[in-house]
Order: sequence, then C-alpha cells, then structure tokens
Amino acid sequence: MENENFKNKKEEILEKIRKGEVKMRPKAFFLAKISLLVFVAFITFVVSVLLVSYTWFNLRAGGHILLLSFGGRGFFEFFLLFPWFLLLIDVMLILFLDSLLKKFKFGYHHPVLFVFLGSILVITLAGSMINMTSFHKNIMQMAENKKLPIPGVGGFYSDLRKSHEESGLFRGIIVSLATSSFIIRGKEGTKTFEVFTPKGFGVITFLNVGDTVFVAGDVEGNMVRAYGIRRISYED
Amino acid sequence: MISEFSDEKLAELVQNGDTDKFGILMERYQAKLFRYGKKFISRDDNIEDVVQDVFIKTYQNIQSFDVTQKFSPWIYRIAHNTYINSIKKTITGPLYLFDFDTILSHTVVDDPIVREKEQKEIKEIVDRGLKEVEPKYREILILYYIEDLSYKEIAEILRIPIGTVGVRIMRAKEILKEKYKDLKIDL
Repeated sequence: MENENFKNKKEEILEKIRKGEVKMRPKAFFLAKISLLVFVAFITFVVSVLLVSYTWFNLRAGGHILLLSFGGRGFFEFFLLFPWFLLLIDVMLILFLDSLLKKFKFGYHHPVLFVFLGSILVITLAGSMINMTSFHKNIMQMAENKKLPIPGVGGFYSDLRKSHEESGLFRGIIVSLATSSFIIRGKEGTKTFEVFTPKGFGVITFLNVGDTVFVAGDVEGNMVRAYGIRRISYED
Repeated sequence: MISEFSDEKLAELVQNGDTDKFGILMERYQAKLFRYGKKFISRDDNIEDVVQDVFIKTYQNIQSFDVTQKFSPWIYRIAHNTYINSIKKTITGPLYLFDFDTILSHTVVDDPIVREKEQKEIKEIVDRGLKEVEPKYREILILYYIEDLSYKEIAEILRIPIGTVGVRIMRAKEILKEKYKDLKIDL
C-alpha cells in the first residue's frame, strides 16, 4: 500500500518535471548566489579592517592614547572618550561576517568561538598592517586641506588634530612660558589657552616656546588646569 | 546496469538532462527520507507530502550539487531544512535556540564498538517514539542510530562541528535516559 502510494508520488513528480511545472535552477543561478555571498563577505571584511585601523588611528591622531600615560584620571578619561560606537559597529560587522562564513564548509566545521576569535585576529592584523602605511595619514591631510575627493569621509578626519575643549583635550604650540603655566595656541591660530601645570611640573625645564604639546585638563574659560602634558611633534 | 550507478553518477546524469534517472534517486531515498521524516516531524499526517517536497527541492537545486562529494549528506541536508520548516509551522516559539555546544571545540570519538553495543537498545527506544524529546536531540538520535550515519555525515547535514555532533548525541542519550527511566531500560 505504502509502496503503491510512493510510486504514485514518484510518477507525479516525474510528470511535473516532464511538463516543466518543476524546473531545475540553472548552474548560473548558484554561481551568482555564491559570488554574491563571497562579494558581501569580502566587502564586510574590508569595511571591518578599515574601521579597526581607523579606530586605532583616531586614538593616536586625536591624542587619546596619550591619556593612558596620565595616571588614574587619564585612564578614566581614556575609557570615557574611547570610540565605543566604532568598536560596537565593528563587533557587529564581525558577527555578520561570521554568519556569512557559516555558509561555507570551513565556517560551520569550526566552533563559533574559534571562527569569531579567528576573524578578530585576522582583521586586527590586517588593520595593523594598514596602520603601518600612510593610508589614514594621507586621507587626514587631504581632509584637513579640504581636498578629499570622496564626500562624507572628511568629517572622520578633519578635526582629529584639533583641540577638543568639550573633552578637555588640547593641542597647540607654546607661545609663552611662565613658572607654573604656559600659553598655547592651536595650529589653526584662532584661540589661546593658558595652561596651569600640575604641581611639581618644571615648565622651564621641560618645555620651550615653539614646542607642540598635548594637554589634558579641565577648562575654565581660557584657562586649563592640566592633569597631563606631553610634548609631541605635530605629526604625532 | 543502471542500478550499479552510484548516487553521485545518477545526480550527474540528471544534471546533464537525463531527468528520468531522478526516478531512481527517488526510489533509493524514499524509504530513508520517509522514515527520517516520520520520526523527526513526529506527526503522522502529511509526511508523504513533505517527502515529496524534499524531492522537488532536490530536483530544483541539483545543479548546486558537487558531484565530487557524497550525495547522501546533500539530500539529507535538504530534507533537514524541509522538515524543520514543517515543524516550525506547527509549533509556537523558536525551534532551535542558540546551541552553546557549537561555541567551543569538543573531542568526541565516533566509536564503532560503543555504537554497535548501544544501537539495538536505543534503536528500539527510538522506534517507540521520541515525541517527548526536543527536536534538536530527536533528530540527532534518528540520524545516528536509525539512519546509521557517521559523525562526519551528520556534521555535514546539520552544519555543525564534528565535536558538537558527539556532545549532542551524548546529551540526547542522557535526555532519553531521563524520559525513559520509567521503562526501566538501561542505556
């Protein structure tokens, strides 16, 4: 009975195939599907690598990384000012990439954690390699000179090397020195700040007029009570 | 002569336009897929229609089959997806919650001696019905003990690491033990 039933079903399917009601999808369809998958995975990988390298470049160019050498307060401020949003986007991109990799044999044959950690490792390595080149620096210089050909990207770079009063981070050239304070002017030359150094900091010993400095402190009008000062080259 | 052709060869012939050979593939897999579906879906009605759906999908997608690979895990994968969709229609809530066993690596060996020892007993229990066991574990017991597939084949069908197959079978046996302890069957 069951056999007879199956025979009928089998014939029904073969009949549908013969009549063209059930059609075989062409090989090109599957090739296009896999190509699209590979393309999306590749783009996700590239965007993820660029985002990781930009995050690291942002910390360096914006001076945030120097906060780590300014003691406990510096650590705290670094934590507050860290671009968590970029990190979150990158983690989401990596998770999306992993879900794409799961469609491939090497993706689903390995434990989720291994694939995730492997992706992070490869993306971090690739991002570090980009940071060894002048890729982001060139984009930043073009953005600062308003010569960036791609619209919308400039905003990520143009303000990196400026002072950020709202965050208590200042970058400028020393124009005059006093015993326990000095005056800095931003490279853009618009605003000056008098920086009061932490107790025991030898202004005359460590600094000279014309030096570029990175300062972290609390701003009160045009005065900054610094908890960390570091001499840098503008290129830093 | 035709019956001597391997599944892979028949699939290749179908890919090249010999659609009648698809009938032979259907004959070869109908009993297996029917049994797998009946036990996994755990519902008596419509199994034949669901299996018919599996064969239609197999034909539609046969050009994506790599003839250098084994045909069996490939068609079982289609069956797995079709059965999951069929179960989803009848239950409320998510069917497969995130599987923590796929996060880490596990070292579990597919031991043929242990398998042989357990096979008869567990097959008997599985045959009595697995309705009480959740689909994730029910399916792996069917594939391993009833369909007699290897860890590697099951990993391919379910798209999970081989180590996870071993852990899931182990957990499935523990769940079976719990569910069937009233029957006083020692697993």
